Amino acid sequence: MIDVSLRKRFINFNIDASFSFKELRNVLFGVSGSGKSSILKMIAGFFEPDEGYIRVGDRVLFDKSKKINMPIFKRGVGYIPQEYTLFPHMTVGENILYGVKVRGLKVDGVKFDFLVEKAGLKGCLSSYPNELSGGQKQRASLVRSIVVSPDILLLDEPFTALDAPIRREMYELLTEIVDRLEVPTIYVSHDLEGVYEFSQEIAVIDNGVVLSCSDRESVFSNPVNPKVAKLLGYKNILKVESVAGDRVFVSGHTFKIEKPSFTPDFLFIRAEDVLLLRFDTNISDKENIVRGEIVNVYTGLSSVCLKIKSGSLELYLNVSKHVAKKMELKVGESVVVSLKKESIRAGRKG
Amino acid sequence: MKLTKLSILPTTILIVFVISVIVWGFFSVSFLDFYGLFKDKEFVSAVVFGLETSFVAVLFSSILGVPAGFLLARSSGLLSKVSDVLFDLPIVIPPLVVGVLLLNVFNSSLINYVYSFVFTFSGAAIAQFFVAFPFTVKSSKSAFELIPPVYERIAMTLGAGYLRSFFDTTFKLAFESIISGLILSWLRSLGEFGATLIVGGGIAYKTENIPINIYLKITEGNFREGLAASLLVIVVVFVFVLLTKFLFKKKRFNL
Repeated sequence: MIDVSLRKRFINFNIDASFSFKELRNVLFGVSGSGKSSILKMIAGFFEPDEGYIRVGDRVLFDKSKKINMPIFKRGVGYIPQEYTLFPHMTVGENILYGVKVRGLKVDGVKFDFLVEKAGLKGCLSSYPNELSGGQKQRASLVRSIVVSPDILLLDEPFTALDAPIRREMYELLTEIVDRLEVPTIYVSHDLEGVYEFSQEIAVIDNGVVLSCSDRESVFSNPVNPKVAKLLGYKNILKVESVAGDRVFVSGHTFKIEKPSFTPDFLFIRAEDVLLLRFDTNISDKENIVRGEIVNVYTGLSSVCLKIKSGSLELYLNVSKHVAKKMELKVGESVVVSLKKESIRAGRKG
Repeated sequence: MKLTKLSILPTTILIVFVISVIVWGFFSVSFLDFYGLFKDKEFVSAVVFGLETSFVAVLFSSILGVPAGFLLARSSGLLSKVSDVLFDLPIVIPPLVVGVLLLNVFNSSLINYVYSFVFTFSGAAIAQFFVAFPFTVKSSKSAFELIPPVYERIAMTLGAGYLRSFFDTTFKLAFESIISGLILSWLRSLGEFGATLIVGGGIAYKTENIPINIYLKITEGNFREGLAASLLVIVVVFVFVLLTKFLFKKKRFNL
C-alpha cells in the first residue's frame, strides 16, 4: 500500500497531489511538466514537501505534522531516472553490488543470478558503463535498484530515450521482475501504450493535481473530464448541448448512450471505437448512425485516421490501412459511421 | 578554407616563440653551469625552502580550496557568487601587491602579539598560499561541475550516507581533475616571487626560494648561473605540466 498526500510550492508551479495505490504496478501518468517527476523525487526524499505525508506499507517516510522526514538512505527506495546513472568509474558488477556493499549485506546468489540472467547482463559484468548500449545501461540500473530489495521502486521515465522495440522489452522485463519479486512500483510516464501495458493502477496528473486515480480499466474507460480524456488518447471530445434520459444532443445529432448517474457535459469516444460501415451494410439495426464526408486523411504506420464532418459535428475514426485502401477512402468521399453506445463515455466539465 | 586551418599559422607562431626562447636559453649555458648549481649551497637551500613552503601552501589549499570549489559548483547562493568573484582577486592582482597587503596585516600589533610572521617560513608559506589557493578552488569547481549530483542521490537510495555517497561517486569522479589543480597550485607556489620576497624578505638560507635566488644571482652579476637555475625550473615545471595533461588522460569512463 502506497499512500501519498503532498503539497509543494515552487516559484511558478504548485503541487497538491493525493493518491493511494494498492497494487504492485502503479503509474503516475501526465504530460511533461505536470509535476509527476517532482512527486517521485519527493517520495525518494530528494527534496522536502511543504506539507503532507508519504507512507509505504506500514513505514512513514515523511509526515510534516509529525515532523518525520526520513533521510534518502533510510527510505528503502529504488530510483531510476531517465538519464543513465550507472557509476561510470565502476564495472557493471560493481555497480549492481554497490548497495549490497554499502549496506553490509550478504549477496543473495539466487536473486542475483535470476536478475542478471533476466536482464541479459551475464556477459558484461566486468564491462564499464561506457561499453554498454542504452538498453543494457537501464537494465543494469534496474538490477542495481532491485538487488537490495527496496520497499518501493520509483522509475522516472527510464525507458524514454530507448528505441521502441527495446522499450517494449524493458516493459516486459520490468513487469516480470516486479511481479516475481513483489516490489511495489511507481512508474512515471507520458507513454500511453507503455502505461497501459505495465499498469495495474494509474493516477492521472495535470498541473500538479491528481485528476483521477483508480485501476487501469476504470481510468482508461471513464475519463473524468476532457483534460484526462485527451491525456488518455480520446480523440473525440464532444460538448453536450442537452440531455433527455439516455439521449444526448451534440452538434445537431442525437446519441443514445448508457444512462449515466450524472448529467454529462461531454462525451468521449476513442477514434478506434467509431465504426466505419460498408456501403452495403443494413444500418437499420445499428446504433447512433452519422453520415458525413471525409475532410482529412492522416496516414500512420499501421492505420489511417479519418476526420469526417457531419454538419457542425467533427469525428475522428481509425481504420486499418487495408480497409482504407479497399474502400478507396479519400477526402470528399461520403461515409457512414456508427457509435456503439457502450463505447461512448460520459464526462464532466472539470 | 576551414577555420582550423586558418588558426594553424598563429598557433605555429606562438609555438616557435615559446620554444625559441627556451632553446636559446639552453644554447647559452653549458653542462657545467647546471652542475655548478647542485654545488651551490645557497641554491640548494632555496630549492628546499621553496619545496617546503609550497608543500604547506598546497596542503592548506587542498584542505580549504577543495570544499570551497564544491560549494561554488553546487550552490548558487550569495556566498557562492561573492566568493567566486573574490577568489579571482589573488589571481589577477600582482603578487607584489599581495605581499604589501600581507605585510601590512603581519605588521599590525594584534598579529605581531600572537606571532611574528614577517621574514619567517610561516609568512612566506602564507604568502604563497594566498597566491596559489584560487587555482585549487577554480579547478575543483570545474571538476565538481562536471559531475551530476544524481550519482550521489542514487548512491544514497542504495543505502550510502551523505559522506559515503559523496566520496564514492562525486569525489572519485572529480579526483583526477582535483589533483591536476593541486599540481598547478603547487607549481604556482614554487614559482612565487613578489609576495614571498616582500613577506619573507629573501634572506639567504632562511627565506629565499628559487625565484628569489635567481633574481639575486642576476642582480649580483651571475647571469649564466641565474639562467641555468631558470632553465632547471622550466624542466621541472614542464615535467609536471606534462603529468597533469597526460597522466590522467587515459580515462576508462566518460561522464
